Amino acid sequence: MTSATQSRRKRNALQRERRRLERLHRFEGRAHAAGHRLVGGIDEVGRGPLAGPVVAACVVVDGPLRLRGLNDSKQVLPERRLELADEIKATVVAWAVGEASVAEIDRLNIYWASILAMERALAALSVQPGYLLTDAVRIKSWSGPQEPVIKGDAKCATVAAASIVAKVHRDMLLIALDQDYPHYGFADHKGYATPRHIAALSTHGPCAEHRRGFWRVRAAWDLLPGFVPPDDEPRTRFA
Amino acid sequence: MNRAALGKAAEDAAVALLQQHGYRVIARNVRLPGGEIDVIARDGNVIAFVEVKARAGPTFGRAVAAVDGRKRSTLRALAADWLQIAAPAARARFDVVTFDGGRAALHRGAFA
Repeated sequence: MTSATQSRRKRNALQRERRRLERLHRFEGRAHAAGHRLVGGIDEVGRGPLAGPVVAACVVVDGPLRLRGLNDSKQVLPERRLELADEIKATVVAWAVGEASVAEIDRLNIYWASILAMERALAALSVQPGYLLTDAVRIKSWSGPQEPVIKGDAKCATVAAASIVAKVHRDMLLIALDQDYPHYGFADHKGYATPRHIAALSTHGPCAEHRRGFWRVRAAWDLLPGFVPPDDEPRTRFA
Repeated sequence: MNRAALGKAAEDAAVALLQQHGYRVIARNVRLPGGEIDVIARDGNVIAFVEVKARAGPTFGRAVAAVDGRKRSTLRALAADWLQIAAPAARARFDVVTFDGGRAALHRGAFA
């Protein structure tokens, strides 16, 4: 391969990335153009896992986020995600995270708990955005204008940035949780239902950080293996 | 008595019946993705997944007949999901408790 071809390919790749980032700002750009100087993006992570809190993050920007590789947290490699989280926090006008605990998830259900986490993230912001982009949810308690974007974490730079900040924060929490409950492998799977996690759940039963409303956790509750005779009130055994 | 109340009363009666027969009830109304298992109980070392069916009268045939092929395959799938986590090594069986106008019957190993 000639060096001319190489440099052309590199240039093309850079241009492609620039165009992608531009597209990633179409919602933010529209909001800025409509006169909102500060645009916020909010997203949540950790709806699916069997254990641990659900975490939301919100970022507020006053202009485009030109960060290489910025994308939905699930599309970014873990190492790059850590770097990006730092770059995002250094670039944005304001950012904050909010959490909802396992007890709250069990009480409210996972959807409303994730909304609660988002409300907490908004409340924790030092600067409130004038316009809010969300990942397909409507936050009723938010008084300002908001726009739910379907697949927002893949379409809006701010929502993608929020998803990365939230993901990195939640991963950190689960790594800390792994110290308290070492049986399950929280540091690896972050509470998601991997075969290893399910096997551990089956062997050791659920811990206090497992979401009891989730059927897999319930099933582990119903009967521990080795045929431990169930008590009269089996569900309260770990309460 | 409406249909829901009939079902609930039948489930309570079924639990009492199972206990009379020496079963230990593990869980009731186990909601899983794809459906619900009425009662999960232990009969000795075997896990019994129990479906409860009640008929107020004879108009629509006997209750056992209502546990049709589709219901059985649903229950098989649900039981497999639950067992994988709760007791992967367990022996299991499907029982049916029926009530036809107040007459109770326990069908051990009603299907496999």
